[in-house]
Amino acid sequence: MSKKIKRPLTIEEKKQKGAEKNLKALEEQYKKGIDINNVKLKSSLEENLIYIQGIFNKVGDMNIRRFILGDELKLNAALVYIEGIINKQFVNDTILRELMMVIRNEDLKQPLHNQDLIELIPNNLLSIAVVERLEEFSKMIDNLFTGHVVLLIDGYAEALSFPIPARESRSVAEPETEAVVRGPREGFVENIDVNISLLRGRIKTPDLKLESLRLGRVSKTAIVVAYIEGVAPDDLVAEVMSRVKRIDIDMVNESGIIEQLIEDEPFSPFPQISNTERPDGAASSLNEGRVAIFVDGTPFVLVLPSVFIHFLQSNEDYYQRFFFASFMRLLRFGAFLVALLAPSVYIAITTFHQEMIPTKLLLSIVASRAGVPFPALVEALIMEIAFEALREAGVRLPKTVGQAVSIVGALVVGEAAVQAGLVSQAMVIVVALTGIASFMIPAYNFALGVRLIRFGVMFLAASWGMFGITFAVLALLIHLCSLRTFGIPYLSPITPTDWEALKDSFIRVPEWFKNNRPPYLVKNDNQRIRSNIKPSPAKGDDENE
Amino acid sequence: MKMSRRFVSLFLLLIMLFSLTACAGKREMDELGIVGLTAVDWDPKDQKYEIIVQVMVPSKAGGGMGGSNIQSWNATAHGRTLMRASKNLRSVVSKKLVWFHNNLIIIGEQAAKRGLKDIMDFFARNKEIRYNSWVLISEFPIKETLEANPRFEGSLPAEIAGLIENNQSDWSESYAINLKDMLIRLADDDFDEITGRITNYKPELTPEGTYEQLDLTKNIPEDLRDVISLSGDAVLKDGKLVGWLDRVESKGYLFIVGEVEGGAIVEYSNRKDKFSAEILSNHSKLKPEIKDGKINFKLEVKTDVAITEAITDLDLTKTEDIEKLQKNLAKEIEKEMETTLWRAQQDYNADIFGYGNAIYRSYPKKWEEIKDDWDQIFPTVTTDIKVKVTVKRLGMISQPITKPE
Repeated sequence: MSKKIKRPLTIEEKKQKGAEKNLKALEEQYKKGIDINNVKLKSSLEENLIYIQGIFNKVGDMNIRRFILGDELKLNAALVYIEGIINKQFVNDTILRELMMVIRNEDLKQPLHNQDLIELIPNNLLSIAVVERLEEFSKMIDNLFTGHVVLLIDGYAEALSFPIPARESRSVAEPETEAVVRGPREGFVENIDVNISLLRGRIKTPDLKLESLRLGRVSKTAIVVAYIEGVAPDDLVAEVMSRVKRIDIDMVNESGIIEQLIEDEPFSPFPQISNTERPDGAASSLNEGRVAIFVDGTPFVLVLPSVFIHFLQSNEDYYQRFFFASFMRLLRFGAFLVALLAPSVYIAITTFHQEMIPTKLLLSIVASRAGVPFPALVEALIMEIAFEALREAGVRLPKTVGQAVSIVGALVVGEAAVQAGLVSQAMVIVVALTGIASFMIPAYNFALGVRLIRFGVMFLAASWGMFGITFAVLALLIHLCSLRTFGIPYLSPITPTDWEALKDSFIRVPEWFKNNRPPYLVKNDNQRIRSNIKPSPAKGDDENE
Repeated sequence: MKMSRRFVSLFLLLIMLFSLTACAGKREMDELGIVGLTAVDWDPKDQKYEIIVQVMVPSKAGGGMGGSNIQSWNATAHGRTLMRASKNLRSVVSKKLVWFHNNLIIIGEQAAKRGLKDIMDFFARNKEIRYNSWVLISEFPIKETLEANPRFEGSLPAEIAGLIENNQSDWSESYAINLKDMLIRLADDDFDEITGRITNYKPELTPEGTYEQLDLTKNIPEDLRDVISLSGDAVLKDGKLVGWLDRVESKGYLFIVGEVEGGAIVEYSNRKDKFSAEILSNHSKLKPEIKDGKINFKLEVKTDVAITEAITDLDLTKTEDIEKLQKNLAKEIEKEMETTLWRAQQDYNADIFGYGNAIYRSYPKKWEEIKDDWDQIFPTVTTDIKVKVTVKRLGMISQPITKPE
């Protein structure tokens, strides 16, 4: 090993070497750990970039594009962005093109290096709607993850940040969970900006307030709390905001997480906050003085406060004529009772109160139960659990297989179970009716609660017959009466009775008769429709003919 | 902490409720022997009650909810008291006997003659017996009566219930009362009892008819093919059977008490004319009058009828002829009622019409005086009968097609 003879370094080279050594040291330091809070940008581009690289160590989708500003001026600059969440086309065609080629000394009155580029670029050069000036790294990091492109220029301790987000988004399609025969076919998507625009398309007033915030230490999910000022009570909005802001969580993936963190009674089987995939539903809820919470990344928008009757209503009720809508609502309420109680009543009557069944019906039920080795409760449990399992299997399996499973499950297994004498036909009918009834409940989360309670009531019915059912119903009623959601009693407008709001509950009165917004929700601006506008043929028509 | 303690205590409470009550009163359906009919008779030789229950056992034929496939079994037991007899049933029946679908109580002739009061006490006390069960008296020993087979319904109780219903709505020639009414009549002094007579007979086989075809499905020997029939009434005095009313007398009874429903008919025929009319509505008014210590009843009957058969010379479009017809029909009804009155007053001395009750209502003091001698007074009571028949409809045609020959 021969020792290399080193040429003595010039001062310039020494300076450069020193700077490199400095940078190396910084890099080493950053690798050990970086504090990003309250760190200001430096004026040296290289230092800033090393700092950024340190923060984004091993972050593959972070990109740094170095370039030279203009062609004559040798001013180093860099664009920092996260790959995939920005519109690269726009960066290429507008920002880079503008900064690298279009800038000419002669275009401007003064040479570039004499000017404050941080002022000049947004003011005179780049035609981008939103520009932010950054001084801190923490802010820059937040911006980068929300689709900003950050421009760093050597010699400036400030950076420019342009939001050019481009995110893969599903196109607006008909919502699957809330299909209607008549009504808008658009539904919310995962992109919150699209969702807000859909809502804005339906409510065109500055009173529509959209308070946005970010939740989740890791996910930094965008949340928008929407309400109509003056319609939604101020204290409700304040309560919602305080409950939402109280949340400190690492990740918010879906609005359901927010729901569980802000609801009044987490142990109640009844949901107190409804969700909708439909912009028209969200808009009309806001118009009723309710508050909607949009969560980025999910098409399900929370609507609150939601009371008992809200879960038995469908948007279509308002679009169809009121006779049919009222009929459907009554039917749905009946379905709620059937879904809740049908198997229990069957168990209670057949094991305790045979005297309640008409003789002929009793004889045919006895005939169908002949040879069934299980007591009615076990029989019901077998069928109900099998049915729930089928439902779950149907949801989880791929669509093509799902159908086969439901056919095999429902037809083959059901028929075979009856043939084998494991369950009676009467029970199959009861369980099938219950299933249909639970599908009739429009709100899925509400139906889930009903399905769960059903099992409890079944046990009570099997132990004490009708007395057990009465006990269960009373207990549920007491619970419902004591339940409140954001200060609104859960059973309103039934109790406390609100006649005006009852016009739109179990039945739906004609539009021209529904004078006010539901008074239990909207306190001040109550006028919904001008009175006396019931449609009728023009007066005097008959005489003219 | 407070919350979880509440939940734990609630949970424990529920567990205790479930385990300690142990499903009290639970009866699984397949354990049941559903009694559809209870019959009681008296065995004079052994001095014992005989009780027969008909237990319905539906069978699962063809895998369907075949309600029509009901097998019924008759179980018989004897005992010095009815309860003993009914408990003794358990020695021959493996199912748990339940009575709440029992809608028929049939009393055999022997037991009815001996007296209904102690039998009814048993039925009235039993919580599973419904007060709307029909109480009928069988003309023959119940064993024979229950040998009849249902022909139209799946079971004998359903068949008899159908007969009663049919009688009430379309026939009115028998008067069945239920347990509640029977108890009221038994408890009251001013009423004697009456109820439907159940009888069975071996019908003369028609050369061709539904009867043969229906019974082919059941392997029943020919001599057992009895037909059950409801006709006429049993008359009881103080709960003891004293005799029977035939169909015509039974209808007369229904006219007097105003229980004739639409569908019953009045006939009238002489050498010249032949009429039948269906009753549309009927009102009877019974009012006692006391003159010089003599009790006289005023009975007003107003009946609207529709002509169903008319073979006559009369011109039915003329008011006079219609009036003539109405008078003839009224006379016919009057005759029926008189027969019944004579039967009840002279033959049986049983106040089945509630004459005593009517006196009690109008002249309560007088009733108190004569109450004890009512048995002697009742046969002497006279009745003025006034019948008014109104022809409301002539049917689809007005004039008769044929003239009497």
